[in-house]
Amino acid sequence: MVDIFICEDDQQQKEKITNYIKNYIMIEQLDMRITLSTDNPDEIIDYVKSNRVTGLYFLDVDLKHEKSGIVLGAEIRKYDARGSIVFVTTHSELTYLTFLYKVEALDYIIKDDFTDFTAACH
Amino acid sequence: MLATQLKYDLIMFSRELFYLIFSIVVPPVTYVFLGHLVGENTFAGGLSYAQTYTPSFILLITFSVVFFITAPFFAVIILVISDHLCFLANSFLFDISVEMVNAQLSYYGLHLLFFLLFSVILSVITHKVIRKLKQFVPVFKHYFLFLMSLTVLTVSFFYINILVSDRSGFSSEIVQFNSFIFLAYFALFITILGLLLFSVIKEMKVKNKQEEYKQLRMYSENLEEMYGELQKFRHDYINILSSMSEYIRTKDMEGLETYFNEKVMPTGQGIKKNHYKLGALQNVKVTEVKGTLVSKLIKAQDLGIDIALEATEPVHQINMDYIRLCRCLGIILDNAIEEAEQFDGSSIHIAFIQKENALLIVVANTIGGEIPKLYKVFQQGYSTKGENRGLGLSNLKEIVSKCENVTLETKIKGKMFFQELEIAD
Repeated sequence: MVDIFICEDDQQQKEKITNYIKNYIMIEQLDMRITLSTDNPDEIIDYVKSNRVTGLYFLDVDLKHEKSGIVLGAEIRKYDARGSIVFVTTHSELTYLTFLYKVEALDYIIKDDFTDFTAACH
Repeated sequence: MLATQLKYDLIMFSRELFYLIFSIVVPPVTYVFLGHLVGENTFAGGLSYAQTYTPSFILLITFSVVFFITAPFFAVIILVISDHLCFLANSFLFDISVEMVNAQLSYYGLHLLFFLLFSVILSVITHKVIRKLKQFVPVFKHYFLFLMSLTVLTVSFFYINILVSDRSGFSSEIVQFNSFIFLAYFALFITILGLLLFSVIKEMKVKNKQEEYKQLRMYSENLEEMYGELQKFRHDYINILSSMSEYIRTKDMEGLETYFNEKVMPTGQGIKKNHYKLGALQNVKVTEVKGTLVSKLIKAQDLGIDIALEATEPVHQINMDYIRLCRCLGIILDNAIEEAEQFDGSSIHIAFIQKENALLIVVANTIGGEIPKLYKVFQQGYSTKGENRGLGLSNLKEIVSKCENVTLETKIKGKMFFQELEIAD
């Protein structure tokens, strides 16, 4: 069972992503579940700290929180070394190398480009 | 480490015809020439010319070879000065005159020992100074003629002095007198060099400042341009909002949809293909590095290369000599730009990534043509861009190897070429 975490500060966007993933899991009948869908990065950290999980994380880069998505990703890495982190971003300048080196992210998705979602989930 | 350094030095040495002439050709020629002039004379202690001078000349040649590597021109001077310092030391410390040195083997041994000691000390000092000076080489080029004539003058002065003294016989008075002259000359020489160095350093500092100023001006011009575009966008944005509100007020949903799809979405695309690449520069707080980045970014932009800079966290200071770091960055970025400009659709990514106890600077560029073999890339003289090139990366490696806390890693992944410079705090 793979745990999926979503962190996105925009309520509408969050629901959109969550629904998309839910449907995807259902259609493909994957062994996954959405464990946490939140706008507060600390919740994810707390969960990862107290549970040993290998998760799939969808993180927004620009959270309205003192922690940015990149910092959150780096912190998740400390507790979950093998998890897959995917950044969801509107940033057109794509802080691509930073994702790669700082967080060892799996992939990134540009927000208005949801067709990529499927590819990233694999 | 020392062995490779020596090997490198030897290679450099053998390439310079000038060094070779001065160290291997000149001393024997002088030896033969002097022998021709004074070979008939007998010297103090009943020794012949060959007996008196052969050991010194053998020493001279060996020392020249070794020290010309690091200290061209200075070897001869060092040797003569140390020789005379020996005589001075001998006569002051042990009350041994020149005649006694030449006459008795034990004194001669002592003399040689002193000679070795002095020349080693002087050579080490010169070596250090020259190493320091090497970074000013480009500036010194302006003064090349002056330095050249100064050196030729010095060398000829020393040779003539030896010749004249030799003609009149090396009596102790003359040698002592010579010693003082040499010391005075040495002091003069050092003073001139010092003054020159001082002015050169000053000039270089001014030049650096000017360069920095120019880069920062470019930066601010670019920012102004960006601001102008932003203003334009804001204006457009307000227009768009007002026409959309008009559609909503009249409940013309179809009209709104077409308007949105045809007018609003394309502007979004325009924003994405941005020219705001210098934005992330605000996080690089080190002015020198910022300057280098600005000039390279603008150069790449002018060439139509898609270049992006990432610095998500502010970089306040970098634990590396800024001149060296700028040279490294310059080399890496120039290489990336040169590679990228040859092919359409190539891109360059630069990232400053703050790790827990190190700063990682990554430059990644796409490779358009044939993928080079990684082990060849760093060889001196290897280049994918034709003849007479390929010094950049070997220089880069040399600079990095001089800094203890800096490592350079080069990777090729698919069609991307990565240079990772890691600087430990």
